[in-house]
Amino acid sequence: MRKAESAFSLFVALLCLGYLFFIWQMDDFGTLNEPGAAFFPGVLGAIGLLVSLRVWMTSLQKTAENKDEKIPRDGLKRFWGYVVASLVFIPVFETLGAYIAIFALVLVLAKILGSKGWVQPVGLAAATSVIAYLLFFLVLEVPLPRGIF
Amino acid sequence: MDVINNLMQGFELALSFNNLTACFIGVLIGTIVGVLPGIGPVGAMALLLPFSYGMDAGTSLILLAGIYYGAMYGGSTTSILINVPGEAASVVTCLDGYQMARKGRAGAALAVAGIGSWVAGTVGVLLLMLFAPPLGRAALAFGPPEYFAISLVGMLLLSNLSGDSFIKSFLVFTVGMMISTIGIDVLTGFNRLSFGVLELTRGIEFLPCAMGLFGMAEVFAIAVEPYDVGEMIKVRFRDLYPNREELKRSIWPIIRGSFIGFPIGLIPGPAAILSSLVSYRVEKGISKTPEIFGKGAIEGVAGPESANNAAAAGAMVPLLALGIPFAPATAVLLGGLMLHGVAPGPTFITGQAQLFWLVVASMYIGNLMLLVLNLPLVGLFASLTKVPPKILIPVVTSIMFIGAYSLNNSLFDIFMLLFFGLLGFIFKYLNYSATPLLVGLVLGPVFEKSLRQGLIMADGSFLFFLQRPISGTLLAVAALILLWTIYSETKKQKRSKILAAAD
Repeated sequence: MRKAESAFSLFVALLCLGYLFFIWQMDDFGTLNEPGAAFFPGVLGAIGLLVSLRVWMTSLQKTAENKDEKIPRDGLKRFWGYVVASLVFIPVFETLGAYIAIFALVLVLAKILGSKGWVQPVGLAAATSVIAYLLFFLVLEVPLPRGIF
Repeated sequence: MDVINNLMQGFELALSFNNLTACFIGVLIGTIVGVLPGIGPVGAMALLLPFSYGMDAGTSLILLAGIYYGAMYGGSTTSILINVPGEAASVVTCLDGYQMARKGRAGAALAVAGIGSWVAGTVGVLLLMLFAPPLGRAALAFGPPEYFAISLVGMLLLSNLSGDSFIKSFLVFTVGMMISTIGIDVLTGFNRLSFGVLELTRGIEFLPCAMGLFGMAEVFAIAVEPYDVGEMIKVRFRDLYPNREELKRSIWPIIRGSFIGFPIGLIPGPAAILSSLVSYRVEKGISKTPEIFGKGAIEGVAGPESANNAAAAGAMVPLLALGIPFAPATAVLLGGLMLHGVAPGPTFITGQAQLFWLVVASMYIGNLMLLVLNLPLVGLFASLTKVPPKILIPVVTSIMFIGAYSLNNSLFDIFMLLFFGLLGFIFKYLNYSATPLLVGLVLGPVFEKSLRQGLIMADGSFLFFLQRPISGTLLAVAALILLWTIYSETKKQKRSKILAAAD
């Protein structure tokens, strides 16, 4: 986990640096007896930067025994499939409508997670859509996008 | 007498049809999420929160609290029957519970876990009832310096107790507070770090964050490594009775667990798991037969299961009396209260007395419901673990997306859910705890407001914070925690260097 950990802590350090840059541009630190809007974020950004650099240095010092834990290739495929399907779902949620989008999402996710054939995943997707309609639209009256309907 | 009168009024309200239904649904969902691996109580509470808009504040709080303590019950079922903890607090129960099940005493282990949870839950509510009102009254005298000091102590304790390293948890807490500074500054109206994005001016809401860190992250983890649908040890209803010897051996561990769990619940951090661990250690330490622990000792089930339920009640004290949540679950409860325009804090117990006593009364009823629900239906709940991830996870994901969207009818919240889900997954992979981020996000505004107001009161002098008795004492405690942390971290580093050199 050594490489991943040091990359992550370095990324957080860069984020803190960026955060401090934007806070600095706000130019509203105020004084100690009248702290401005940038005062507290400024303190946080500085602490965050120092601590993330410390974590980064510690991760560099770790022994070679702490090797990166490999995610199995199949697992990685499912993970990226899951992320991409979720990202595609967001824009189509309003355009296609909630219930069609949910049908598609559940179908795709079930296939990604290894559902065999089409009967079970299509049945699951249809059931989820119908239950979502009954529960959210009829019972809880949550206004969900109707989309093309 | 006031306490009894108030409690009776609470019972009167809690026994209405709506509140009883909410309590039943809450404890039922809690038991189910406690049983199912992957979906913890925090994710489930966050998920259901948007749907409680239509309810009144009391009913919604009863539902959410029911999920919270219901999950503590449900978690033990899978620990005992299939050696898989349904939620983190039940890890310890696996040690002896599963061994008892293998010896044919699964029914006794489940019954003792259920009875212990009920006794401890009830004792916890009793202690909450006794401690929260005086603490709330005392907190009326608290000003910004005291709130700043409490938040600081909370931050240091939480960083110490969460995850595998203080420095990593401290970093995550700081990042959580940094995220909380996005949006309009409440004291000056200054728009901070919103980059012209309308949704960011509202600030980052903690619900998509909670759902992402505790729900979506788990979904990603299961997608990477789906859990096995394990073999379950069957339990017959007639086997659900512990024998006299087992009952006798369980009484004191249950009592001790109740009194160990409650104070640990008050401490910021993973109270449920910590309390079960401490209780297990205590039981093993004082036992005349410590060698049977890990091989099916009933004390190893009774103590920890009682402790984690008492801790759940203890964690409600800082939330209800001070308005400060130190755990993700109570942070979601705070969200539930805020959603209905109720601000918990020192004035909550007096100003919203009816609501406070309603919740307390509902917790008594909920604990009883859990006992009745869990013992006869244990086999049914345990069979839920047979639902394969390829069916469960897509359904849970779609409900999460709808839940996030319904917060503000905005796709931005689904983006936030995904973002925090990915962040939570990275945290899991790198052994960071997500709890400090969520608590940091909730405590950030309290921290900032109390620091800035305190400095204005003190005319810029930090000495003022030390001169006030309560804040001074708390800051001294914070300094001691910090010194202890530095000492123990240095010691740990030295030890690992010596070990590395020896290798």
